[in-house]
Amino acid sequence: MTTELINTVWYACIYGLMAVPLTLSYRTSRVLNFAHGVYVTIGAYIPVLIAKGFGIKVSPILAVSASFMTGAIIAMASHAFVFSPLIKKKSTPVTLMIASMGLWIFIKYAFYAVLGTLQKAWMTPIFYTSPNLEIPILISFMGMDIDAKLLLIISLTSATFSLLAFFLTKTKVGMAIRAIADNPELAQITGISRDKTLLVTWAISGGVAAIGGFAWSLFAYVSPETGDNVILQVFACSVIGGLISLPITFVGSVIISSTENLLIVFLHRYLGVELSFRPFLSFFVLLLTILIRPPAGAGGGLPYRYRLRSIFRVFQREVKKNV
Amino acid sequence: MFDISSFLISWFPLFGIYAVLSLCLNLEVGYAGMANFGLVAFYGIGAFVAGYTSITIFLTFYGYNYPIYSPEAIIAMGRVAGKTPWLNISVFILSLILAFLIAGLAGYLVSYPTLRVGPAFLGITILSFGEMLRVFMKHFAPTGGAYGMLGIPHPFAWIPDPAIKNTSFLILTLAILIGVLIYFELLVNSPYGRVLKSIREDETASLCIGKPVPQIKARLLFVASGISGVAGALYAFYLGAITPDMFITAVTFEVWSMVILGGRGNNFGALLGASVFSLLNRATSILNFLFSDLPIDPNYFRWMITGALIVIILMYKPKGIIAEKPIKTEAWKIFGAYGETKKKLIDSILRIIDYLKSAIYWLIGRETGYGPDIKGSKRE
Repeated sequence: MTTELINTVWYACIYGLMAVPLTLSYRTSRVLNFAHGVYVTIGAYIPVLIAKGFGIKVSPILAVSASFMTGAIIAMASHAFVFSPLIKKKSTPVTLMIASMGLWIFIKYAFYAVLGTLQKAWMTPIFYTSPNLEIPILISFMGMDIDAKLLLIISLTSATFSLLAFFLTKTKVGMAIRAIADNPELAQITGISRDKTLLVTWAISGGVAAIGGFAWSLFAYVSPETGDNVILQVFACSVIGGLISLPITFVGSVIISSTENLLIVFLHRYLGVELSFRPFLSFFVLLLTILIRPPAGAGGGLPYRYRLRSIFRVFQREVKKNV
Repeated sequence: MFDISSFLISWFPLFGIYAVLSLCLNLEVGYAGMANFGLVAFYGIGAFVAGYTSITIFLTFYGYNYPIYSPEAIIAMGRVAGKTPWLNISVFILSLILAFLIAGLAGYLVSYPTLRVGPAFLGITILSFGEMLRVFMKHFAPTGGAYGMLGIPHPFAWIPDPAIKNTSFLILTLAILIGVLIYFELLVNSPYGRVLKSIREDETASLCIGKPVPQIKARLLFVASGISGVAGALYAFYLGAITPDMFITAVTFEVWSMVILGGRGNNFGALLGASVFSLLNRATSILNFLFSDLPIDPNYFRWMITGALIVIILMYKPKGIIAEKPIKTEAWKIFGAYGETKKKLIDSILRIIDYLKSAIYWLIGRETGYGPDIKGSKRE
C-alpha cells in the first residue's frame, strides 16, 4: 500500500503542475489550449537534449530553468503569432480552439522531425530515454532514507505554487492578470494592456507546464507522446476546477491521482476489476463533475436543465394534479 | 514510373471514407456549430464493431473455436474468407448496420452530459472520450489488445482477380459516399437544416423560439456518429487489419482540416477538402515507398502541413475555399434569385425616372424659379 500512496503523491504533484497553468491560461485568455500537451513534452525533453548534446550530467536547477525558459518562449510565440491576431479579429471561442488544435499538431510533428534529425546526427537513441541528472538516489533525512527524486518533486511543486500565488496576489502584473481574467473591458478602461498581460500569462503557463514535463521525466521515460498520454487526466483536473479556480484545480489533481492509483487497486483487489479500466475511471470522474456541478458560465454555454431534473418536475406536477 | 490505375484504386476508397467522415463533421460543425473533437472515437468504434462481428460470424459459421486474435484464427480466416460469396456480402451489410447503430448510440450517450455545457467542455469531454477508448482498447484482451485484429474478410474476397475485387470495393465505397451526400443535401436544405443553422448562430434565440436545442443536437450527434461509424467499418474492410493505434487524435485533426480547407457549412467544400488531404496522404506513402532514405520522414511533413494549414486558413481565409451558400428553400426560389433580378430591374427603372425628374426640375427651375433645391444654388 505504501507504493500506491507514494505514487499518489507523485502523480498529484505532476498533474497539478500540468493542470494549473491550463486553467490559468483558459481563465485569462478564454482560449482552450489543446497545445498544452506539447509544452509538457518539450519541457520533458529539454534536460534530455542538454545531457545528450553536451554529454554532461545536468544539475536540477539548470534543468528546471532551461525547461521553464523553453516552455515560456514557445507559449509566448504561439500567443504572438496565432492567438493574438485571432483575438484581434474577434474570433469565436470555437475558432480559437481549432487554431490551438492546429498549433498542437504542427509543433508536435515539427518536434518529431527535429528529434529524428538529432538522433541521426548524434547517433544515440533519443526516443524513450530519461535525462542524466546530477542527484543522489537516496537522501537520509531525520534518520530515514527518502527517495531524492520524490523530495525534489515535492519541493519543486510547493516552490512553484507558492511563487505563483505570491506573483498573482502581491505583484502588480499578477493583479493585472487577475483583472483581465475577471473582466477584460473594465481592466482595459483602467489602462491595463490586454495583449501584454496575456503574453505574460502565456509565458507563465507554458513555463509551469514545462516544469511539469520535467517532473514527469524524473521517474518515467520521455517520448514525443508524453504530453498526449497525460492530456486526458490534465483536462479532467481542470474540469474539476471548473476552468476557473486554481486551488480547486490542484484539489482535482489530487482526486484524479488518487482514483488512478488507490481506487483502481481497491477495485482490482476486492471487486476483480481489470487494471485496464484505469482511463475509464478518470473519464468517469470528468463526466460526474459535469453532471453534478455543471460549470455553466465558464464554458460559454447555456445552463440547460438536465433531463432527469425536468422529468422530476413533470412527476411533481402530476402528483400535484392528482392530489 | 507507377501505373495510374492502381494509384486510383488505392486512392478512391480512401477518398470515399475520408469524404464520408468530413461530411459528418461538416454537418456537426458547419451546420449545428458543435465542436466535435472526438470524431475518431466513433470512427474507431465502427471499425472495431465491424471487425469483431465479421470475424466472429465467420469463425462460428465454419465451426472453429479459436479466440479471434490468435494466429490459428488468422490462418483459418485466410483459408475460408473466399469460399462463400453470400456470407461475405451478408456479413458486410450486417456489420455496416451494427457499426451504425453502436457508434450512433455511443454518440447519443456522450451527448447527454456534454451538450448542456459550453463548447470548451464539449471539446474536452469528447476528446477525452476518444483518447480513453483508444487507451482502453490497447489493454482490452478480447479484441486483441495492442495488436488489434487481423484477417477481416473482404466483402469481395471471393473474386479471384485482385483488380476486379478492388474496383468493386471502390464502386461500393463511392456509392455509399453518394448516398450519404444526397441524404445530407436533402437534410440541410430542409426546415431541419435551417433549425441547425439557427442553433449555430444563436443558441439562446432558437431556444426562445421554442426549438428543443439539446434534443436536436443529441439526434444530430446520433446520425453523424453513426455514419462516421459506417466509415470506420469501411476502413476496416478496406485494410483488412486494424489496431487501436490507428485511431489517434491526429485523425480527427485531419478531418477537421479537410472541413476547414473546403469551407464550413458546405457539403461540397467538405468533399474538396477530403480529396486534397487524401491525395496528400497517398502521396506521402508513395514518397516513403520510393525514397526509403529521406532525412526526415514525409509523414511528419504531412502532419506539419496539416497543422499549419488549419492555422493559416483560420487567419487569412476563415470561410474556406468554397464559402457557404444560402439554403435553397421554396421561399428563396421565389424571392431570392428571381426576386433579386426583378428588384434590380425595378430599381434601375426608378433610378432613371429620378434622373429624368431632377433634370426636368433643373431645367424648369432655372427658367421659372420653381423646383427643388439644387446644391449650390441660392434663392432669394
